[in-house]
Amino acid sequence: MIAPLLERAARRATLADAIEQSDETTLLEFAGGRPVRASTSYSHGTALRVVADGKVGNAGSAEEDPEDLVARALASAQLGEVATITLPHPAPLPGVVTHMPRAASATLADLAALGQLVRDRLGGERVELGLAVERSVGTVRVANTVGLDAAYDVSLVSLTAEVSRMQEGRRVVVRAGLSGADLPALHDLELLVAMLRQRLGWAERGVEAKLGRQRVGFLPAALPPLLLSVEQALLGKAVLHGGSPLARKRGTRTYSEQFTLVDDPLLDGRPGSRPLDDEGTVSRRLPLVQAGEVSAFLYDLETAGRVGAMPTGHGRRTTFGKPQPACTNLVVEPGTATWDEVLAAVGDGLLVELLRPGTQANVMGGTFALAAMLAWRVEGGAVTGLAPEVTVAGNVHDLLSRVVAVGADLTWVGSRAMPSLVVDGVSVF
Amino acid sequence: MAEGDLDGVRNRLADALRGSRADFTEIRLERTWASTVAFRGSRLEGATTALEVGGMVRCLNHGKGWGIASFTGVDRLPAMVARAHELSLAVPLDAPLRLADIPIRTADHASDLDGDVREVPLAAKRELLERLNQEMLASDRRIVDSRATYDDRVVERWLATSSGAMLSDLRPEVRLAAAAVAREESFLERALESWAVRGGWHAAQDTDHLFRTAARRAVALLAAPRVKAGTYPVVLDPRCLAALLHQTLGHLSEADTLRDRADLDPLMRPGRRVASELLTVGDDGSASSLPGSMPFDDEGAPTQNTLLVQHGVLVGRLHTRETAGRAGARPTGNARAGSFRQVPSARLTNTYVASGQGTLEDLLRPIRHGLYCCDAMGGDVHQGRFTLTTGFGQLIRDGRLAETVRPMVLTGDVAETLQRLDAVAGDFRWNLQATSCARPASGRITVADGGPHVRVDGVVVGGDSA
Repeated sequence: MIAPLLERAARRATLADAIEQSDETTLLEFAGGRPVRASTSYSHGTALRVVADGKVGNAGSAEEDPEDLVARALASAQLGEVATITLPHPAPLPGVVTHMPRAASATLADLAALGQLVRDRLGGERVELGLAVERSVGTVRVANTVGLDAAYDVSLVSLTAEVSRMQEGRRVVVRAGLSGADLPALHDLELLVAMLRQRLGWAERGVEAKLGRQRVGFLPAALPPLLLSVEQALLGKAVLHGGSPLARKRGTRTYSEQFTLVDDPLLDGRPGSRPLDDEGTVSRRLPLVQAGEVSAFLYDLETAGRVGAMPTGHGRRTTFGKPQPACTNLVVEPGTATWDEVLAAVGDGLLVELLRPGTQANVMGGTFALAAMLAWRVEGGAVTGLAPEVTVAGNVHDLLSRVVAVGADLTWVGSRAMPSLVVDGVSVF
Repeated sequence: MAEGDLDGVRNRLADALRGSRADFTEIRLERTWASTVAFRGSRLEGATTALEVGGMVRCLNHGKGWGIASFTGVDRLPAMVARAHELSLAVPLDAPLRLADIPIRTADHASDLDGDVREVPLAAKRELLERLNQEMLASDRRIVDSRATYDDRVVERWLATSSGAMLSDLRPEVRLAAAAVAREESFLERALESWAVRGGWHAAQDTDHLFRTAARRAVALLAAPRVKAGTYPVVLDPRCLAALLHQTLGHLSEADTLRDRADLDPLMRPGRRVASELLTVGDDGSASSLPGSMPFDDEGAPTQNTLLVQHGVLVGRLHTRETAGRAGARPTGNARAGSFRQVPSARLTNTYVASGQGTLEDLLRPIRHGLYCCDAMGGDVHQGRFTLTTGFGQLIRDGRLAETVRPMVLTGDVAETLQRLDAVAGDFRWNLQATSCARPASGRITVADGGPHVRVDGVVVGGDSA
């Protein structure tokens, strides 16, 4: 309905743009190694933005009623703020894989087979196994009143595995997952199983944790909740409102030289990949922090207009609500440290595998106190066993200036690609 | 789907159920009208309205698992019934699922709309929020930024099963949230206040205090000292207590949580003492006009008041039809889902700690050096240990409240901490905060909690949340 919608909107507004998204997600949940629940979810929705009399308005709907949507967007614009929005004109789209036909056409039995493969490979372990396999197929179409009309297909397959075991009165949980546009490769599934087996081996021995300030290694899956502070501080919105501690740091060395962070929507087949953003701006790779120096912030059209910056292609829209700047695929550049070197860098400390998100008091400011639900004790540069659950605390912005080592072990965690990171002076209690 | 067209919707539901080939079919439809106004600093972030219609079909067949289809719009309903049946057939089970019975009823519930928010122009909502936000921003030169949001919703819900249940309800909801950011030199502090109620436009008036409180607290926190880590006698305010109970005994009483965590089962065995005998905890989805209130849950079971802990002893659990069927218990009306996209699971509604005796002053009096912990910004429980970040707090010195301190992290063993609870005041109140509880599988739901002030002799405080 996007074409008739924009045609109607153009009659009554100076400019307009819209996004139409449809999605079908199939989820297969396993218990005891067998599928126990199958579900499908269909959704379809259109979001419209208009600028009328210089003011911006937004509306969304899951219904096919262009007249109603235009009326509601115009009503929103009447109350809206004055905004300068420059809509992108049609441009050649960069090549990026977002859809794999064999993933899109996989049957329920194909998806079940992925779970069964993991179950069979873990067969010998005395564990409870929780598995879920999910596949989404969808289409995104973005169009505006200056002639842009672009669409792309999306497929995404995710597999998550959780193994748990009771041990000395404590339930030890190890999690791992894979996601991408294609069905996971056998090799990747085997790496996932090998990782789970290795962790179960480490967990066999429970040891005391060392408390107080110490060196801590954060494994890839532990990093996204920590880096949320950096991510939020790099959003154009936070810069605009002055809440970002990084707002005035562009071009200055803020973090350790070993820390480089890039947003990259053009990596093939990753969960955040796309040829253009939800407002029609062409995607490009954007280094955010280069060797510790803040180099760019993430902008959507409206925020860029307000700050006087160029849009970076980071507009994100849902059916309801207005466009917001957001990351696509966030990549911490891997270092050169081998696994042994990562452990040697930790020396006598803690290796954190999983953090529980959600107990952070002041995300943007960077202060955190997060429970390490799975962590390993490292002594003399080797893993000596499972640490009890402790809380790790500090300030993310400070910690990133105390990076001791960056692993070469780049690992994808959803739309985040992270290596292991060893930092000094983390409080553990 | 036309608004208020009960008969039209009923006929659609009845037709779809008749067309189902599954042994059991349940259909839930929702129509949500919502509006939002948001300010960031003095700038209007947006003023929008949204309308969403959709549903979920669940089918169950003998010897098979659940087949589920959710969808936007209602035109696909018959196709979705067929799809859910097909998905159920694809998952053979060794042990059959048994659903506990619920009363088979036909009923239409409509709450008082209390000034129907759908009739109030968006401009009036903007005006209200703009005034509140401006007052907050102007209250002190150190307030440098703010976030203010106004949300309202009217949800119409229909639930029908192939066993003959045909239910509907209509409920209004309104929420306000204020966040003030204060800055002095390089120090930045934030304070949040929120409010929610099952009500309409009339209820949203007289909410100025939220915005004033947020501003005052953000400024007070700038100069507030950190608490030295250690073990202290603490007094928890009703919000902090409720957050602790929600995270600990509340979630552990959800039968779904216990099904997935066999290791917790012995800990939560009925009859086990889990807290001081001063503690009584319950969950009441049938309480009037609270954010977690509703006449029936997302499987059609009537809501009720369920006691979970009585005088420190476990006495009850929260059930869905499936968990009740497995346990040989009765459904408690706690099957809840965030929206039609999610499958309901056993969730909290309005969770409370029963009132005791005496006042806050009585609780403070014997404490020479302790902490008064207020509100909560987040918390977690894992392996029997909890962490809870307070919103703010005050020192207690010689039996009296003294200076404001920075947010702190409380931590400890759940059972040990609750055993050390040594006084419960008689000042019960429901906390009308805009509190929600999110789960990956069954989504974000609105909940409420309430309680009195309580004292705990000896809680580990991990110092400042930094």
